[in-house]
This record gives sequence, C-alpha cells and structure tokens, in this order.
Amino acid sequence: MGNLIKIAFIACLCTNYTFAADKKPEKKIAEVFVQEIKKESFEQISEYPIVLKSRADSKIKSPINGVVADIKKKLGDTVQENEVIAILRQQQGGFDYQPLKVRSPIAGKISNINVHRGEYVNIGDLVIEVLDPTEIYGRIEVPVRDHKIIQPNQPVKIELQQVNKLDVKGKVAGISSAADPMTGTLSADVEILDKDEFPIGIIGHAKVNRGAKEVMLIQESALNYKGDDIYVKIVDDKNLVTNRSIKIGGKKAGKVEVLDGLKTDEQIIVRSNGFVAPGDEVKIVRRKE
Amino acid sequence: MRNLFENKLKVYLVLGLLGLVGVISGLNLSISLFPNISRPTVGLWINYVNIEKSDFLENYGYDLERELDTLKNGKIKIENVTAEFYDDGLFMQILFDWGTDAEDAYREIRSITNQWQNSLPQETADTLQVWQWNENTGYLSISFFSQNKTIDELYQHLDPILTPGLNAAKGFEEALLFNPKKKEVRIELNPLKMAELGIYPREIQSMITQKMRSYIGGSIRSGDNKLQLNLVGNEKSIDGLKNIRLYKGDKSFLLSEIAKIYFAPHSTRKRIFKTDGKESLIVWAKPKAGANVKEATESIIKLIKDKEPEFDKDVSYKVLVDPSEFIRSAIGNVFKSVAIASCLAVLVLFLFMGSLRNVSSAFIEIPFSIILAFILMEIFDMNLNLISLGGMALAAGMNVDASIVVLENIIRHFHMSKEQTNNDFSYAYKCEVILKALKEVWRPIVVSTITTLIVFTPLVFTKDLTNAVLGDLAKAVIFSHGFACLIALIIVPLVRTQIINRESLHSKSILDRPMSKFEVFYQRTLYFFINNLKARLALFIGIPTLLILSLMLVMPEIPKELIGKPHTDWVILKVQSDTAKSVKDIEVLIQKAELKVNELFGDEISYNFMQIRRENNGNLMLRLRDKSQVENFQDRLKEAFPNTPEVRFSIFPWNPAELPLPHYPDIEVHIKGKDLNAMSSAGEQLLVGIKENKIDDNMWSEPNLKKSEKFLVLPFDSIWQEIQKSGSSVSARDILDITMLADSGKRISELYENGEKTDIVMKFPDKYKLNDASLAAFPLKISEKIIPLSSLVDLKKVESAPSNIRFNSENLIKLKSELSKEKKDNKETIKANIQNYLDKEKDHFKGVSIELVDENQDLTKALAQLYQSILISLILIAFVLMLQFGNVLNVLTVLLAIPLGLIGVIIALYIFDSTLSLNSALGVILLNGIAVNNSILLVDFANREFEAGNDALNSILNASKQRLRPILITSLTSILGMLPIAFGMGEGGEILQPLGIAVSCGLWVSTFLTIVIIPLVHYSVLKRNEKGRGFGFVNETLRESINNFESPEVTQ
Repeated sequence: MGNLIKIAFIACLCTNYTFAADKKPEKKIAEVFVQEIKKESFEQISEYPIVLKSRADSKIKSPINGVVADIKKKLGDTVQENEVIAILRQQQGGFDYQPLKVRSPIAGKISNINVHRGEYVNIGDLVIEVLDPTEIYGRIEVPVRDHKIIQPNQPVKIELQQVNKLDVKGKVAGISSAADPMTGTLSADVEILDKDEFPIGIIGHAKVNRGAKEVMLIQESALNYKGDDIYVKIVDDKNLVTNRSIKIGGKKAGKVEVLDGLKTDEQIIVRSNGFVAPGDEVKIVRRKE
Repeated sequence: MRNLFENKLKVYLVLGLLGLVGVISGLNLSISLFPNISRPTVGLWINYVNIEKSDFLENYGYDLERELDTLKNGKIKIENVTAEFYDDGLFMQILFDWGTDAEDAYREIRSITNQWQNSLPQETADTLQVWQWNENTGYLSISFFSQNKTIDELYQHLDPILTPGLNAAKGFEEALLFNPKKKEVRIELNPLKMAELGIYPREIQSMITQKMRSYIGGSIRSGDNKLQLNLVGNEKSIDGLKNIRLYKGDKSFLLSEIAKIYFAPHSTRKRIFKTDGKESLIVWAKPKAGANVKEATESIIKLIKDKEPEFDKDVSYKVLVDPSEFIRSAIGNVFKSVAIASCLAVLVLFLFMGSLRNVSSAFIEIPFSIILAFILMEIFDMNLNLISLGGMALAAGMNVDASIVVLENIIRHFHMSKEQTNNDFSYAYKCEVILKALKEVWRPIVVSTITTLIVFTPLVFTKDLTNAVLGDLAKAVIFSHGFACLIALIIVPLVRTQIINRESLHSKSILDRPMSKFEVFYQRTLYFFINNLKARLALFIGIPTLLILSLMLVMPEIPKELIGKPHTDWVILKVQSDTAKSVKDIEVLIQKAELKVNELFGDEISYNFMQIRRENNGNLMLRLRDKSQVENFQDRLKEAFPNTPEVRFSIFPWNPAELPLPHYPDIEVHIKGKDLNAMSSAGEQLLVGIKENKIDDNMWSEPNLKKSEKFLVLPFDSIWQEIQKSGSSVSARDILDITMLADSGKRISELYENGEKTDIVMKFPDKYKLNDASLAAFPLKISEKIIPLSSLVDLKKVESAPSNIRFNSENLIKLKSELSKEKKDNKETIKANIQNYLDKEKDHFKGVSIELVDENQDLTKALAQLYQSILISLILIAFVLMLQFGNVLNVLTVLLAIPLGLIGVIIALYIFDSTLSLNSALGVILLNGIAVNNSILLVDFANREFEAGNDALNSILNASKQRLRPILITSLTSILGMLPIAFGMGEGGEILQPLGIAVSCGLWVSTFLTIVIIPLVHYSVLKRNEKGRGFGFVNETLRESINNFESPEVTQ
C-alpha cells in the first residue's frame, strides 16, 4: 500500500514536469498594416481672414450742423450717381430750417447708414457709405514673417460662410511693402475672379495656394521612438522586419513629412496586432497608400 | 458541576436566555459584503486652466505634497500619495492606512485642500474636486432600457417615478438615476461676427453673467409689510439666453445674432451604456461605510419592484450588480456548512457509538456555539460579511471536537462502570459516572481549546492586509470555538444525564468489531516499532526527510496568490482601438463584437452590457448562464477575438463580490530620478529593448510614455506694446480665452432645464479645435483691421513634457507586465532575464535609478505577519503546555505534531492544483491546533497510566488504544466538516478552498503520523523516567493478546 502511494506520488511529479517541459511557446506571426512610400504633391496653403471691400467706396459726411430730416434709402439699396439719399436740415437759432439734399457721388449700393431720422449731426460726422459692388476686392493682413511666401498672382480660395459661398476664386493682386507696427501685418489685396455679387464688409477665410512641393508623407502611427531616435519598421519582400532611423519635418492631420531615411516603394508598418522586433516575420493584411 | 446537575432547569433557562440573546444579536448585526476594516482612499482632481503643467507643479504641486506629508506621521496616517500630472490637470490619489476611519480621512484632506485652494488663481481653484471612496461596501447597479423610447424620453419617464424613492433611501452615500447622455447648453460663438464687431469672449462672458443675475434693490413699505425690490435678470433658459442684449461701443445686438445656442451632448461626459444593444439608464447606489448593505440594497430592489406597475410596457430592467445577492448566498453557505457539519458529526458519532439517542443532540450543540458567538460579535462591533461568514462555516467542523471527546469518554466510562453496578441506573448514578468521565477530560479539553484560541488570537492583532483578510475570520472562529468548549463541558454532560439510558448503552455500533480489530492492530504496530530500533530509526529519519523534500521540491511549485478569487458568471471583453477618435467610433467597433459574440455564443449568454466611457476603449460585459463554464468560455472567446492591427481585445473575468484587495502585476520595474526627460527616455528604451530581446512583449508603462505635443503661445512683445500704447483693452488673456474656447470650451454658468442643472458652455466651432492652420487664421479686429491671430502670437508646436506620476513626492515611472496563462509558469525565468537586462543596461542611464520590485510585496508582508503570528502562537502554546505538563520533554513531544501536518498540506495543495495563499497558510495554523489537541490527549493519558504505576510500554499502549477512537472520531468529523470548504461549495467558496484542502488533506496525514510518531517519541521519554523509578507491573494478558493479534475483550 505504501509503495503504491509512493509510486503514485512520484508519477504525479513526473507528469507535471513532463507537461511543463512540453509547454514551448508557439511562434506567433504578427499581422500588420503597411504603407507604401510614395512622393506626393503637397499643396502649401496659408490661411488668413479676409474682408471684402470695394475700390469705389464713398463715405458721405455731414457738411453742416443739423438734424437728419429724412433718409431716402435703406441698407443694400442701389443708388445712381448724384441720386438724393438723405435730407439734412440746418439748425441755427432764430432761423427757419434749411433743407440740404445729400447726394451719392458714385453709383453703387448703400453699404452703411450711420445715422437715423431725427438724429443731430455735426460737421464731419459720417452719415452714409456707398460703395460700388462691381469694384469688389478682398483685403488680407499678412503677418510680417510670411511676407516672403505670399506673392502676387498666387491663387486664393475664399470661403464666405456667412453667405454660404465656400469656393470663391481669387488671386493675390499685390502686397504692401510697409508693415503696420500696431498689427505686425502687411496688407495684401486679393482680386475676386468670380463675377458675383457679394455683400461688402463681410469677413471670410482666404486660403492662399503657395504652390505644391513633392514630399514624402507617412502616417504618424508608423513612428517609433527610442530615446532621441525616431525610427520606422520596414518590411522587405521576404516579409521580414528591420528598423530604420529617419528624420522628420512637420506634422499635420495625422501625417508626418519624412525628410530623410526612406526611399519610395519601401513598405513601412503603420499598425500591428502585437510588438514586432527586427528580424521578425510578419503577415501583411492591409496596404495603405 | 454537581450543582449544575442538581439545578438543571435553571441551567437550561440560562442557556435558553443566552440562546435568545444570541439570536437577537445575530439579527441585529449589520450585514455587509466585506469587513469593516478598510483602507480609505481620497481622490482629488484639478484643472490647471491657464497654468502650464511644470509651472503648476513648481508653484502649487510641491506645496500640496508638503502639506500631505505632515499626515504621514499623524494620528490619521497616510500610507502613500500618488499624483498624476496630465497635460490639462492633476489627479491625486491619497491612500490611508488600514483601519483609518473614512470620514476622518476625508475631513483631513478637505481641510488641507481648502487652505491650499486659497493660494490658487480663482479659475483654477474653481475646478478643484475632492471625493472619497470605499470599496468594501460594494455597489448596486441596475440598468433600465426601452424598446421604443430614446434615452432622454426614458429618463423623463422614470425620473419622477424613481428619484424621490432613491433620494429617500437610507444607508447610501449616493443613490441616483444616472443619465449618461448628460447635456450642456452650448453657446457656439461666431468668430467672424465677433471680429466684425471687435468683441472678445471675455466681454461676452461678463455681459451674459451680469444679465442672468438678479439684484436686490432695497425694499419699500406696503401697508404693514416690507417688500423687497428685485431686479430680475434674464430668464434662465435657452430662450432667455438668446434674448440677452449685448453692447459694444454704440452698437447693440442680441446674443443669438453672434452665436448659435442649443442643447448639445456634454463635452466632457461622453458615455454610452447599453443592455442587449439598447441604450440604458443606470440606477446606481453606493452604500455608506458601516451600513447594513444587505438591508439597504434590498430596499432599493423592493422600491423598483413596487414601482414597476407604473412603468410603461416597453420599459425593462436588469439587475447588473447586487451585493445583497452575494451576501444571501454566503449566509446560505454558512447554514449549509453548519447543517452538513452537524449531520456528518452525528453520522460519525452514530457509526462509532451505535446509539442515535446518545448522539442526536449534536444537531443542536453545533449550531448553538455559533449563535452564542453572535453575542460577542455584536459587543466587538463586527459585522456579518463574506469573511466572517466564511469563518463560521470553517468553525462548524471544528466546534464539535470537544463535545465528541466528552461524549466518547462518558460512554466509555458507562461501559466500564456497568460491570460493577449492573442494576443501578438512577439519575445519581448517571451523574457520578458522567462527572468522573468529565473530570478525566476537562483539563485537556480546556488546554486544547486554549491552544486553538491561542493559534488564532495573534491573527486578530495583525495589521494591514492580513487583518483585513483574516481578522474577521479569526474572531468568528475564536468566539464560536470558545463557546463550543463551554457547550462541551456543560451542555453535553447535562443533556446526557437525561437522555442516556440502559438501552442506549447496550446498542452496539456497526464499527465496534472492526474498531476493536483495528485497535489491536494499532497496538501491535506500536509494539513493533517500540521493540525494533531499526524500524523506529527508519521512521524517525524518513518522516523528516519527506518533510524536507516536500518543502524544498514541492512547495516552490505551488503557485502563490494573496487570496482565492471567487467564481463569477461575468466575463468582460474589452475593446481598444487607437484609430477610434470618438465614443461613437468605439461604439461601432463594440457593436460589431457584440454581433459576433451573439452569433457564436448566443446560447451561453444570459445578457450583455456595453459600457463606453472613453474615446478609444469600451467594455462588453457578458453574463453567462452557467458559471462553471467561465474558464472554458474565456478560452474560446480569446480564440474568436484575436488582436488585429486596428483593434486590441482583452478578456478577463469580473466578480463584483471579489474582496477589494490591491492588484499587482506579475512583473514591475520602477524608474526614479529628478529629471523627467531622462526617466522617460530610459523607460522608453527599456520597454523597446525588453521587447526586442524577446524577454517579454507584454510590458507597458505607467504613465504612458507616448510622445505628445502641445502648442506654445508666444506673444510678439513689440506688437503688444503698440497695442497697449493705443489704449486698446485687448490683452494676452483674451488670446488664452480664444485658445480655450477653440479647444474644450469654457463653462460660464448654469441653468435649470426641466428641473435638471445644466452647464452653460461657451465655445467656438470645432473647425478651430487647435488645428494649427485654422487657429493661426483666427480673425481679430485690431486698429480697424481684421488680422489673423498668428500676427500677434507665435503658435509653436513643441514636444510636451512627459506625463508625470509622483509617488510619495518622488517622480516614478512604472514598467508593468501581466503574463499570459502559458507564460505564468516561466515567471521566475522571465524575471531573471529582465533583471539581467536591467543590470546590463542601467549604466547607460545617468541620473535615474532602475529597480525590479517585488510584485508580491503585499503578499510577502502579509505572510511575514502570519509567520510572526505562528511563532507567537507556538510560544504561547508551549507556555500553556508547560503549565499543563510541567515538563519540557512532554511539551516538545506534543509540539512534534505540528511539522507532521505540513507534509500533507504541501502535497495536497500541489496535487489539487491549489495555491499558497493567506488562507492556505491559515489552514496550516488550524491544522497545528487540531494536531496538537490530539497529541495533548495522547501524552496526558499516557502520563496518567504511568503515574498509576504502569511501565512505559503499557502506559503508551493503553493510552494510545484509549485515545484512538476519539482521535479518529474528531479527525473524521473535522475532515468531513471541512469537505464542503475543500470542494469550494457555495458562493465565494473559492476564497476558502485552499484552507479546506490544506486542513482536510493535512489532517489525514497528520492524524496518521500523530498516532504513530507521538506515542513512539513519548515512549522514549517515559522509558527515561522509568529508569529513575524502577519497573512497574507488566500487563501479561495484554502482551499476549497483542502477540496473538486478538482483541483482549474477545479473549475474555
């Protein structure tokens, strides 16, 4: 009986050791997404706020001290050259009111009415603004440090969210040479190429296309870091992995510019389902361009 | 004792009264999930707002750490402080010592933070949140969902029905109906309109808050009354907001002209809960510390059942987590264990003693000790919880031992004395016999009870984790076992004076004959070893060798854990994806997983619950129909959901009834130093190196060392000087406001909509959300020109400082690893390889210290405390034995029983694939107590025989024979009583299973070895003493009968 117990005990121990010895870890092949390296044309865009103005823009000021007796037009109305747009009455103690007709010096549209009926105005106060919508242009303020990259004739895409026009075409007409010390900007004019009527004075966004350049862009998820070293994992035609250090430039929208270290048509790992070490074999399950 | 027999009615009355008090105490005990001993945690969160992370740490973070340091040596002790400095705020976790009162802990922290808050800028100070949590009370969670209603409609339907009852519920820190789709009122400003008007967010915010305020303008008299004059602000509603009039210069406009105002999903609270694919609300209730958890949670379940008729037909609910369910199961478990132990005890007694009448009262005697224990439990402010209930289930098997010894001796004395007085069976006669029997055994019973209590008492005084796990269990055992001794010495003899009669004594047990043969065989075996020196030596060398081999070869193979984990019917499938950018994205991924789970495993799942709290991960919680299939189910689920490059899956069981103990990873490396960049670089390199060298590919870091970037906003000084010279009110603060509103927005006020408090958040359209090009082009009006933001400030993208965790005021980075099931066997090898790698690499990292830490530190500390307790108990046992025997050799002989049991324990834990844990260590302690009891009786009886004049041989043979039957009975009842625990029966049975295995299997071996080794050793002691006094008489009849291998009774 005692022997049986001994044998059973030793057998248990042996079995356990045998099973332990058999437990070799299975070699797992990682599944990866890769990106094939291509040079892409990358459009360089600079974005600024833009204000729509008119070259023909008349600010009509009050020539007298008096009262606004009548305003003949409302905002947005079309006026002809020399058309009466407002009546002012002179007011001096002891004398009758003398009506004064205010006329528009140019044909155009009422862009601003700065007074209301019955309001007292002094000499020089702004009464009404008239501008010619056909002489419309855009004005952008360019930070001084961008003065070299914004050049005349560069195409501009204008987004006017307030009037739901998101693809108005234009081009840079010219840029001033002197910066405003108050704002640190140079004024640049944008010629509007689309012949349409746009409300004057509204603000939108202007995207200046500075031209395309050839760049190598990779997914940001492909980057690996080891201290100061930045590297990617390259998959060769045998599906084996090597690490390669690279130099990177700017990042934008999940992509990174590669300045040095990669060649076109190479494949780099952007995602994997486990850690991949140099020398490992991988299985490519998806390619990203 | 004689007086007790003469006044038995009074005794029964007193006992009945005590029993009643015990029952009342038991009903009054509060019932919780876990012991009251807790280690409270206080949490703290604060947003930096406009302060850079490193500046915040320098100017404010260190101050707070210094203040908290003062609590490390105070009356209310902090154990450690973990501070995580994220990019936008600080999260701090303050862990107090075991046993600290949660309310006191919270008050101390609040007092420190209130002072600290005064030093912070107002906007930062306003974001401070401090809260406490206790894990030992568990929580109640119920999900509500509807076939037809949206989540908001469901909330509006259920809120008036349930919320009043939830608010009135007693015993909760918090009980509420939680709507994950919390809303905010969003004021989405139009930057273009703002630029046209030349207005900035700060001005708008100031005008809005002013307009919404009401003012008191004194009072006027109206008749006898004094009436207050109130200038009412804008109505606090969305329409009221829209109609707020703002002014800039001579222009005025409505808020709605420059902003869109609407209800939107809360920008910070983004959660999705779904039950079986339907969006759900959650009733969530957290019991207070010290509350009667069972009563409290049952009250809410009842509330919901009572209100159910008011729900619409399409509304359903599922109870996700209910602590009272576990408690009810645990209580049921105790009753079952006590019932089984009682039945088995009676069965064993009946088999050995042959009379049901004599033994049947054991049905009452066993549970009675537990009922009386309730009295002391109430006095010592204990509660009924999974641990103390487990202790009672454990004690059920042990408590019967003393009663068995008394009962067996009483019946033996009756058998002995009936030869002398055949006809007399009066009450007086019975009392005499019983008294004589009791006198023989009362002292060893008291001593053995004291030794058992001594074994458990040091556990009550342990600290920290050991006390949290074993303290209540030890107390439950001490109280019930102590009373069991009183029951054995008072009730057992008293009851027998009335129920024993001539007929019950005549009945023969079916084991009588085999027992008699076994007794002779046993004596023959002892005789053989006593007279055969070689055999004796072989035994004395063989047994210790077996013990040493077990300790050296087998014990290291037994896996270690803190405490067994109870089985559960919940499995969690966690889904993580770096490509998911919003909760909606992760919802789509989890829905796909849900479809696949339903397709493959639909029949095995009762229902599922989806929980998403973050933008890149979420859980799909699966409740199985069959709890026993959890392991197998997990394996199949792992096969069905392998990681892909886009999505990572983790699968693990979840049990809300699990003791809230700290969880440590399998491997942990600490990196410390003063320079965060150096530490971060070291961590990164080590992580990659360990993976590339194939040492371990599961490691991760805390905090995450992934590089992140931030924008630095650098004002152009010359331009700002010009702006200020011009008298403009715009400042750099306005620029910060713009960046904040472009990112997450800014909470400016609140309003109440449909009775619910809703934040008002001001922000810009998402287009500007820190997209550098759009933000750089943000329009501003300066000097009548519309200029981009980038002309006033440089928005520079730089690498963010590494995330920082500070532990007890030291920078700390942890590298952790959880090994897969297949790799767990190789854990020590992997650890050694990591250590070698660290030794090789650490010289490359200057200014940082790198250390592989003991991940089992809590277990090591706890076991060290246990070993200490064992040592103390051994010393105390020796002391008590010394008082009993007065002889060092006798004491040492008795103590020899202790190591004998270890052999059985180690082998049993190994064979049955159990673990070395606090509970199996407790099993060893328990075993020692029981084994020592048997030895005490053996040695004591042998000494009596020797003192009566017998020689050493006869003393040993007689005493061993006399003690064999009660030893076998007590061991059998203890082993059988432990079987339900060894099988892990009942809810949470896995927690105590290693203890059950250790005791039941250890006791087999221990009993066998005790009845052989102890007599042999004691024979040597008595033989030595015999030389001193000369020879005693020899029982020739006995020797002859042994040689003939026949029972002496049969030959007579």
